[in-house]
Amino acid sequence: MMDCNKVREIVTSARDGGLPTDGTPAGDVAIALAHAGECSSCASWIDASERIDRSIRIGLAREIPDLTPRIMAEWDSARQQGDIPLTTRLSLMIVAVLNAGLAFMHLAGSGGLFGVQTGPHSGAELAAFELAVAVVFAMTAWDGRTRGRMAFMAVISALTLAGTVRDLVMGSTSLVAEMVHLPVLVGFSLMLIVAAAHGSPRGPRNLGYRSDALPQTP
Amino acid sequence: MPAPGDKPDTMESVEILAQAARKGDRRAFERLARECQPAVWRYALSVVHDQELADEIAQETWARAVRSIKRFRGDSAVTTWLIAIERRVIADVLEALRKRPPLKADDDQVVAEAEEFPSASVEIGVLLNDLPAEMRDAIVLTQVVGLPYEEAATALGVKTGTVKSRVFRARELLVDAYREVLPAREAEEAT
Ligand SMILES: [Zn+2]
Repeated sequence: MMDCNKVREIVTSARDGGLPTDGTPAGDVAIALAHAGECSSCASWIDASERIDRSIRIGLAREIPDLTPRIMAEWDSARQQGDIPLTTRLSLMIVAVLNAGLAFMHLAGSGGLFGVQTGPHSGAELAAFELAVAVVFAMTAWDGRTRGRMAFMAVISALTLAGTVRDLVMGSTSLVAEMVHLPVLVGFSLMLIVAAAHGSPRGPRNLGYRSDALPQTP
Repeated sequence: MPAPGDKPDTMESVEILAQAARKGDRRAFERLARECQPAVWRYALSVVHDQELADEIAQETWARAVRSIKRFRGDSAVTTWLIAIERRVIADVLEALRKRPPLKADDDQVVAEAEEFPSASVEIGVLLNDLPAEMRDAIVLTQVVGLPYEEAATALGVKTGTVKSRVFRARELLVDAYREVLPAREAEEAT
C-alpha cells in the first residue's frame, strides 16, 4: 500500500520528466498512477498542483524586455579589450619597465645622470610618482582598459609636457636631461591609441539598486 | 542535453551556439542571447518581484556571461550555466540592497510587489513569495525556466534528490495555501 504523499510526489515528478533518472521503479509509477485514478483526495491535489504550475508560468510570463542590443554592446566591448595589438601591449610594457627603472634611479639618488639633482626626500617622491605611472602602464598593457586611468595620466602628461617645454624655452635644461620624461609621454600616447581604437570599455557598472525592491524571502 | 518535454531541438542548438560563441562567433552569441533571455529574466523576476531590478540583474548576468563564455566547457546546459552566474549576481544585488535603508514602509512594499503580478495571478505571486527561498528557486527553475531536475540541481549546487524533494515540498505548501486563499473554489474538492 503506497501512501498518498508518495503517490503525489511520484505523479508530479513524472509530470516534470524527473523520473527516468531518479531511480523510481517503473512498477511504483504504475501503482501511483492507479492510486491517483481511484483516490479522490490525490486526484484533487494533483489537479490543484497542475493549476498552480500553470499559474506560476503565467504569473512570470509577462512581456520580456529585449536586452539583445545591450548584451551585444557588452560582447563588443569585451572582445575589443582582448584585441589590443601585441606591439601596443609590448610597447606599454616597455615604458612601464622604463618608468620603474627611473623610480629605482631616483631612490638610489642617481638622478644626476640626467641632470636631475634631488635630495633623498624629493627623490623618494619622484620614485613614488614614476612607480605609480609604471603601474598604470603595466595594468593597461595587461587588461587593455583605459577608463578611469585617462584623467590621471592626462594631468600628469600635460604637466610634464608643459614643464619640459618651459624648461627648454628658458634654456634651464638640456634636451638630453628632458629625455627622462619621454617614457611618460610615449606611454600616455599609447594609452590614447588604445582608448581611441577600442572605445571606452566600461568599468564596474553602477547598478541602480533600489532598496524598495527587496524581496520578502531572502 | 535535452530537456524532457521542452523543445529539445532548441535546447540542443543552444548548446551548439554556445560552443561557436566560445570561439568568438558573435552571431552565435546573439542568437543564444535571444534564446535564453526569457529564462534569465524570469528567474530574476521570481526572486526580486520588480521589473526594473530584474532588468538590471539580467543585464549584469549577460555582462558576466559575455566575459566568461570563453571558459564555458559545456559540462552543464547553457541555461544552467547562466542561472549559476545569475545566482551570484542576485547575491551581489541583494547584498547591496541590504546595505541601504528602505525607502518605503513595509506595507507599501508588499502592495507594490503584489501589483507586479497580473491580476489573474496575484494570489500565486503572493504564494510564491511566501515560500522559503530554496523551495521557490526549485519550483521556478523547474517550472518556469524549464530546467530538468538534474540541471536545476547543478545550478543550485545541490543533489538531484534535493531538488526533487524541494519541488514536492513547495507544491505541498502551494496547494495548502492555494486552498486557503480560494476556499470557495476548492472546498468541495478537498476531502
Ligand atoms: Zn491518495
